[in-house]
Amino acid sequence: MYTFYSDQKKETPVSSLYRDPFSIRYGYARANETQEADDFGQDFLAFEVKDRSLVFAVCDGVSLSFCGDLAARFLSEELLQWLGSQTAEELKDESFIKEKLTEHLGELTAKGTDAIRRHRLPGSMPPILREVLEEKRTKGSETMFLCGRIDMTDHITREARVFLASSGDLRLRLWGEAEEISNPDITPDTKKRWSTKDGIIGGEIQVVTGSMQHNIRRVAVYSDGFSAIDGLKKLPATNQLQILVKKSLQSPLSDDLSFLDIAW
Amino acid sequence: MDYRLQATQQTPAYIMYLLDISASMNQLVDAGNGQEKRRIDVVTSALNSAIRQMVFRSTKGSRLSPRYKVSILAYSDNVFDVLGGIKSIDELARMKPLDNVQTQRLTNTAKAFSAAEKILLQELDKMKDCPAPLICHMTDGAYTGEDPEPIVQRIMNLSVSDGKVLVENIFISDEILSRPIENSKKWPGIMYETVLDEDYGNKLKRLSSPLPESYREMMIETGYKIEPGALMMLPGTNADLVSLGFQMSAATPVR
Repeated sequence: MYTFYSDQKKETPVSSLYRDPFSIRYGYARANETQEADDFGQDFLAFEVKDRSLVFAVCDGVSLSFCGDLAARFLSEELLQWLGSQTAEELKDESFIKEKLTEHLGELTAKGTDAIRRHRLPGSMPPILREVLEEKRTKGSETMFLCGRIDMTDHITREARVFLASSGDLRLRLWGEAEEISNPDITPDTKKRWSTKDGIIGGEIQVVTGSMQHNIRRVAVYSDGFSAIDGLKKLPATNQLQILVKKSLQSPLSDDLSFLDIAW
Repeated sequence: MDYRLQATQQTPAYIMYLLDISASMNQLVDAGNGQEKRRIDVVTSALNSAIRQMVFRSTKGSRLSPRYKVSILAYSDNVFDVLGGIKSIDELARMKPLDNVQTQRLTNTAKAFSAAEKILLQELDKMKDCPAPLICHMTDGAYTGEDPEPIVQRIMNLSVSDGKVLVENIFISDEILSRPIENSKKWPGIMYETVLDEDYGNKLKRLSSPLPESYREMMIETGYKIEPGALMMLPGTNADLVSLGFQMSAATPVR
C-alpha cells in the first residue's frame, strides 16, 4: 500500500512513482503570496494505492470561506476513506452511487462543523479580522473537490473500472490509448462546492462511472492554479511540468496548485 | 478594458474615498427603524462597513491578503489625508481611521478632486496591471468655489489596462428623488435617463461612471437588483442607500 497526503505548509515538486499497475505523477505548490507568508495552502491532494486499486481526492478550499484549507484537508481525508470502502458493484451503478455519495457528503457536515468549531485562530490579529473570521466560521468552511477510484480489471488489456465524482472548479482530463477523450459529464463549475455547514451547495455533484469508461488509460486532475496546462493536448515530461509549475507561480494571479496524473 | 481584472496581493484594487465633511454633514438623515443620525455618522458607519467588506473579501486562511489599497481624503475648506498616505487593507484593518473626523465649513469639491488627481497621476504607473482604480465621492450638497467637473472629467479619462478610472458619487440629499426608494435591495439604480429633482444631482450624474458589469454581478450576488446601464451614483436618502454606495465601491472582482 502507498499513501500520499500533501503537506499544506510545503511544496512538493512534480514527482513520479510507479505502484503496479499505476504510473503516477503528482505535485503540490502554494501560491507565491502564501509561501511568502509561510501560511497553509488552500488545496489538498491525497491518493492511495492498494491491491491494484487507486483512490484519490483533490480539493481546492474556498479562500473566502472560513479557512478553506481546513475543509480541503478534512474532505480529502474523508473521501479517500469513503472511496476505499465502497464495493466494485456499488461503484458501477451511477444513480445509486451518486445518491450514496451525496448522502455521505450531507452526513459529513456534522463532523466537519465540529472540526471547524474546534479550530483555534491565531492569538494575535486585528479585531476586525477576528470578527470577520468568526462570522465566516458560522457559515462554515468550503471546498471544491474531484475524487475518484480506479480498479484494474484486466492486466492484459489494461482495462480498468473508473469512478469519478466532482463538485466545483477542479480540472479533469482523460486519455485513451492515444487520444484525449472528451468528458462532458464532469465540467468545472465555480459555483459548486461542499460546505461544512450545508453540504453540497450550488448544484448536484457530477459523477462518471460504468462500462463506458473502459477506454480510459489515463486520468489527470488539477486545481485552477495549474490552468497553464489547460491548452496542452498532451501532458509534458515531469521536468517540463515542474517548469510550468514555477511559471504558474510567477503570475500575479498565481493560486495554490495541485496536480495528479495517473496512467496504467 | 472590461473591469474583469481580479484584485490580488500582487495586483491590488485601489479605492480612494473623498468624503465631504462640510458643516451640513451635521444635519440628520433617516437611519432606519424610525431613527435619525447625523449624516457624517451615517457615512462613517457605512465606510466602516465597506472596510469590513474589504476585509471579508481579502481573507485567505486566517490571514488577510492585501487585495485592496485605500486612501481616505476628507474635505471641506481644505483636504485632509485621513490615513496619511495609501494603506493596504491589512494596514487599514489595524487602524481606526474615522474616529476623529470633525465637520468643518465649506464644500470645496474641486480642491478634493485636484488632490485625488495628483495622487492618481503619481500612482497610476504602478497600477497598470491592477484593477481600474475607483474614486468614491460622498457629498451632501453643491460645491463651493471652483467647478469640479473639468477635473473629474480628466480623472475619468485616466486609464489602466483594466479600464478607465471609475468615479462613484454618493449624494446625500432628501430632495434628489421625487419618490423615496422603499427597498434598496430591489432598487434598479440611477440610469443616465433618470431625471433627478436637483440640478447638482444631474451634474453628479454626468460625473459618475457606468457601473461595470463585473461590479453589478457582485452586487447581484449580495442580494441587490441593480440593473444593467446603472450609473455609479447613489441617492443617499437614507442610511441603507449610503451603505449600498460604499458596498458598491468595494465590489471589485477578487481572486
